[in-house]
This record gives sequence, structure tokens and C-alpha cells, in this order.
Amino acid sequence: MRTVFNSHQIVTLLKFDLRESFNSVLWVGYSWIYFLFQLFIYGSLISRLVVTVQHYFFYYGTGLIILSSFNIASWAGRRFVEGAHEGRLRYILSLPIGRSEFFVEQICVGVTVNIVRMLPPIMIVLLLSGLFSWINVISTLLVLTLVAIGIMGLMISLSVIAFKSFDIYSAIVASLSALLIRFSTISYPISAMNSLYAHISLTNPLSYGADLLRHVLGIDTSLLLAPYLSISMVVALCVGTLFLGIFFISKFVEGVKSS
Amino acid sequence: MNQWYAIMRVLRTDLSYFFRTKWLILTLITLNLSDMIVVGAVYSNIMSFNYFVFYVPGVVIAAMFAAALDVGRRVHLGLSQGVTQYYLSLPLSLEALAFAHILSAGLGGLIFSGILLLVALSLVPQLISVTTIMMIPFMFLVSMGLGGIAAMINLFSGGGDRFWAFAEGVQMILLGMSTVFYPISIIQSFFPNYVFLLISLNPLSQIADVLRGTISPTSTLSINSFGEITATSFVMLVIGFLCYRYVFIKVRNFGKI
Repeated sequence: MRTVFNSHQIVTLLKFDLRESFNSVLWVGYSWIYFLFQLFIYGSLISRLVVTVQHYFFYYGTGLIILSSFNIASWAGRRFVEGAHEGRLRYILSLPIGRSEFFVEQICVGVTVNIVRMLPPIMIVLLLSGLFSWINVISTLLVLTLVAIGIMGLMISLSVIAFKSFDIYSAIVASLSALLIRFSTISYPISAMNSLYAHISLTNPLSYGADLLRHVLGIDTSLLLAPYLSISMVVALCVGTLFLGIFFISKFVEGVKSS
Repeated sequence: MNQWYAIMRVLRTDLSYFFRTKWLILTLITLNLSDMIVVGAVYSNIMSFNYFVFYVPGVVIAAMFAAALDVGRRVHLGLSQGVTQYYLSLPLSLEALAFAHILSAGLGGLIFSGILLLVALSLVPQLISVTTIMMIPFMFLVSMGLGGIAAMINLFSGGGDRFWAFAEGVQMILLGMSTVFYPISIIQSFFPNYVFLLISLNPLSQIADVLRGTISPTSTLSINSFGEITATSFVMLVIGFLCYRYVFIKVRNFGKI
């Protein structure tokens, strides 16, 4: 009888993908420099302009952590689609590995890359804000992992569109990402938004992810969404998109037309 | 073949590439629009001044920069896909090819930011003024200068995937170290004098400040402002032209950068 997951096959593929993902030191170094620039230049300057949010620099820093994690998760989703476009997916689907196992492996790649890339930025923000402790580091990584799994599941589920048109997929993903970021509490609290924006923001899982992280770290809780609601939404996103991704990959993904 | 005619043909091809992917253009416009009406509006509520009116012209300038750099991206793809090698086989001088790419960056930036400027005028009616109309040729000039930056990236990245890292890095530095997103007074109090001087010389700062000058009653718009924009853009344009020329000589002689 076939087992649900064949861990050996997952690990083999995972090792190969991780080697490829960390192949370019330039990109990893660049992502850290980008983070530091955003934090110390943009964050510092904007925080001098913001008057109604106390310690906005740290508020922005935690938002930036979620934003960076979101970008890495989106990258993992795009990587899946690009792999399909370049013919890699057809090869993998021809291997003796189940589709669910393949999906889990893709999620594992994204989570590992997310943790490795985000660890130094997290340490910097926590050290600067005087909140550094290993409990806080682990809690932050846990929140980021849940958010990242949710976003990756969403992006991989959307890859179904890429099998019709890669351009439309790129456009939808870029627009969706931009709207998710802008209509969220990543850069500003919900109290700063007008009622329309606030309502849209309340349907956005990134808002809950960002505010959950701030709750965990104990940053200015008066401006944040309720913690139990936040954790419920983040877990729901994570579990929901995992099942959605497994469903789509099992039913619809068959490779992609060459451009 | 007449060189001007050839330049126009390359220009037309570059621009048709730029505007071909309609979905992507629509997305870019949506992104910039959401920046204006969401980010600008929400930040206004937590700042002590009307950041929305300040931010909208900044978004127009940031979009112009992105569009001008996109032509450089096309040239980069052209280098790796053999399009440049094909151009070099045509009766088209190196100078004409380099100038055509710089010109198309200028036009691409102008058309794209022009669309956003129209949106900006409807959102911030105070921007409607003679100065804004006078800005249009300068936006074209600055876009050409920014196209020159794309040429420098092409040269110094040496082709390959490094181009993307260089392009993103340059975009981040030039936008972050400018007055596109924050007022000059904040920058002056934050950075040392020599960094502040560099930020003042950034053409993105110069054109954003002139565009905002149409709104501010205390602005000091002068011939000098336009002169400074012309001078810095022209320097970048010339450097960019020389970079493209050098890249194309290398491609002609060695087949790659």
C-alpha cells in the first residue's frame, strides 16, 4: 500500500531545490542590503514625518519584516510558475513523486529560504528595538512561517492562471501583491485609514499577520487588531491555501504551453 | 540608409516593445494609482501636513524613472537574445543605435509619466498650471538622462542576471536618496552636508521639487531650477550614450559584453 508521503523523495528534491535557491550569494546579500536601506533610510526619514504613531520606526520595522517575508513567499510562488514555463515542471511530474508531495516540497523550499533570509533582518530589528530574546526570535519566525505558507499556497494556486497566459498571471500577481500590501497594516495602522480602506484592510490576511507579529513583540498594542482574531485569520489562511494548492496541483496542473 | 530614418525605426521598435504588453502597462498604472490614492491618502492622516499633495507628484516622477529604466531592460534582453547583434549588422552607426535607445527611454518615460500626470492633475488640481506644461520637455530630457543610467547598468553589470540586481539597487538608491518621497527639510536634517548635496543634484529630486513648486505658494521656481535639471540630465545622457557606444563596440568586436 502506498504511503501518503514519501519523505525520502521529498528530501531529495528539497536538497536539489535548496542548492539552486542559495546558488546566488549576490541575491541573498542584495536582499539584506535592500532591507537595511529600507529600514535605515526610508524608515528613518518617514518616521520623522509621522506624528500620530509612537515609535513609528519600530512599527515600520516590523511591517518591513512581514513585507520582506511576503516578497520571499511570492518569489517561491513565481519560481514554481517559471519552472513550469521552462519545462521543469513536466520533468518533475514525470518522476515517481506524488503531486501532494511535490506541493509540500515546494512549500518547504519557500519556508527554508524565508527563515534563512529573514533571520538577520529579524535580529537587527529586535536588537534595535531592545526586544531581542530568543523567544521573540522564535515567535517571529513562527508568525512569518505561517504567513509565508499562506502566501505561497495562494501564489501556487494562482499558477493555474499561468497555464492559460503567463502575462495575465504576472499582471494579476503584481496587482494582487500591490493591493495586499497597500490595503494592509504593514506600513500604517488601521486607525489611520478611512472607513472604506479599513474595511478592505480587514479582509486582508497581511493585516492580521503584521498585527499578530506586533502583538507577539508587544509593540504599541492600542493600534492593533485583536490578537485572537489575528491568529485565527493567519492559521485559516495557512491551512486554507495549503488545501487549495494541493487541490489545484492534483487536479489542474499538467505543464504549460511554451511561449 | 539615412541615419535619422534608422534611428526612428529603432525608436519605434523599442516603444512598441514597451507598450506591447498591455496587461503589464495596465498593472503598472494600477500600482502607481494605488500608491497615490491609498498610500498618499493614509499617510496624510498620520502626518502633520498634507502628504497626499506632496506624494502624488513624487509617484509621477518615480513612474517616469521606472519606464525609462524599462527601455534599458529591453536593451539588456536584446543583448542576450541577439537583437543588438542584428542591429549591428544593419547599415546603422553605433552612435545612431546608442542615441536611438536613449531617445526611446526619453519617450517611454515621458509617455508613461504623462499618463500618470493626467491622473495626478485630476487628483491634485493645484498642479494645473503653466509650469506643469513647461515641465513636459524637461521630463523628456530627464527620462533620457535616466535612460543613460540604464546604459551604465548595462555596462557595469556586464550582462547576465547581475543586470537585475544592479538595476534594482540603482533604482532603490536613486529613489531613496531623493526628495521624491520626503521633503528636503527632513533630508537636510538627517544626512551630512555632502550627502545632502548629492541628493540635491539627483535629477529625480530636481524635477520632483520643480513639479511640486507649482503647488507650494512659497516655492522659488527659477530659470536656475530648469538650468540645473538640464545640466544634470545632459551629463547623464552623455555618459549613457558613451556607455551604450562602448557596449556596442564590445559586442561588435567580441560578440558579447
